[in-house]
Amino acid sequence: MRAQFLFGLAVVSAVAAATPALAKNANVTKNDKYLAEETVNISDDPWECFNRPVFQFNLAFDKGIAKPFITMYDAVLPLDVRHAVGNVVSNLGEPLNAVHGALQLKPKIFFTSMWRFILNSTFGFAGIRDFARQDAGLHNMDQNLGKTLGHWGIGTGPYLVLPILGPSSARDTTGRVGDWFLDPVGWVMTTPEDVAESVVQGIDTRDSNAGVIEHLYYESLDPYVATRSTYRQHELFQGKTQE
Amino acid sequence: MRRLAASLVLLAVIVNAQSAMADDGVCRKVFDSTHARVMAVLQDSKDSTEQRRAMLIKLFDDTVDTGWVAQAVAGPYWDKASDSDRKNYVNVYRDFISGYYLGSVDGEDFATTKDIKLIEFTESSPNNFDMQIEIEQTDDAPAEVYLHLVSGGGTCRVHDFKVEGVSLLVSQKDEIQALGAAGGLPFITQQLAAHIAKKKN
Repeated sequence: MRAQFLFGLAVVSAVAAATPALAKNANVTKNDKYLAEETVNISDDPWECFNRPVFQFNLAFDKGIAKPFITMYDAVLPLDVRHAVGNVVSNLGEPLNAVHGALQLKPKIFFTSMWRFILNSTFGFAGIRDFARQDAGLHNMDQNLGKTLGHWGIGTGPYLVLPILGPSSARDTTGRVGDWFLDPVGWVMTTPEDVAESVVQGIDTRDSNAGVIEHLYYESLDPYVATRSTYRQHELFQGKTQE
Repeated sequence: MRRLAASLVLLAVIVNAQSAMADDGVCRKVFDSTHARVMAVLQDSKDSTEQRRAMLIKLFDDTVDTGWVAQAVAGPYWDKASDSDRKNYVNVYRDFISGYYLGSVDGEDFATTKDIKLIEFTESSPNNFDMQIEIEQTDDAPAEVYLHLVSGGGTCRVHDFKVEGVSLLVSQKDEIQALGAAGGLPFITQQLAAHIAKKKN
């Protein structure tokens, strides 16, 4: 799959040039200001004794069930159809995004989400086409109760791995439960419709994140550490950059 | 996080700044043409996905100071190691890191990347530069990538990049030092080599 010979050539020439420098400059990173500031310790994991077995279960589930299913899903459905599925699922989430925009007192999130829902439900043919993004430049502003709690100063709490659902935190897990009650679309759906929507959403999420999951679960040195690190960093980033 | 693999591919891009942005000249001279090179690979329709991936791996290796990164992420295990252990580790780490970030880039990633825009380029401290770029995608919101570059000795190399908050240095440090706890730098090297061999098979 990889053109190793080209890379190998690059490595050989790069190493030949760099090795003498490394031997002489044994501590080139010791006083590096950027390194000291940026490499924040995020590996604190007080529930690791619970998280690791659950992660191993998730890895086995993904390898045995989810990944083969998604491979078949990708083979059967063209990319445009898969994108349409994703658009419908995303559109059904816009009312909840608007609720959280209101709860966070952020009118931009509230009105953008409401407009996206209205435009995509009508001009986007019940959400099949993301008319709001493609034609009106309105991007999805994904929100949930975890982010709303974070906005109001509630810390993330310990890292937590959920069965099948994957990486989370104490705060975000609480948020998932709360969102089930807050979601306006859930108020008008029957339970079978709600379950069906959740299943389709799960399939779309797994499909959309296939590259990231492949990278973390199957190409990392330690999939558990890689997933935890990536999740925690992204969580911190989202907390800092929420509009 | 979506399209992380495709976004990470584009860490080597430094667009020639148009307006008056702080820059010591070396970074701009070295990377003036990189935007065009990366876009040419992404928009190339005649070469295979494998060939295009290989070109990106070459760009990655030319631009990221993988020797420095290898040392940085090993932390205390580098300090305790012998010169020969360090040399072996860096050799293997170079092979590992580009495959790790670019090895799973596929045709869909190439097809959905539309453009790369320079948002900001500032000098954070002498010879240290921070760059923010935005990767436009056809099927998702733009992805923000932050690069930290260091110039010196007539060259300019990337020391870190972050995609939506996920940093190369932090991620690698967590994984590498988790291994180091088990057996120091030689064990890290052994695990990296085993991982590379497994991927080849």
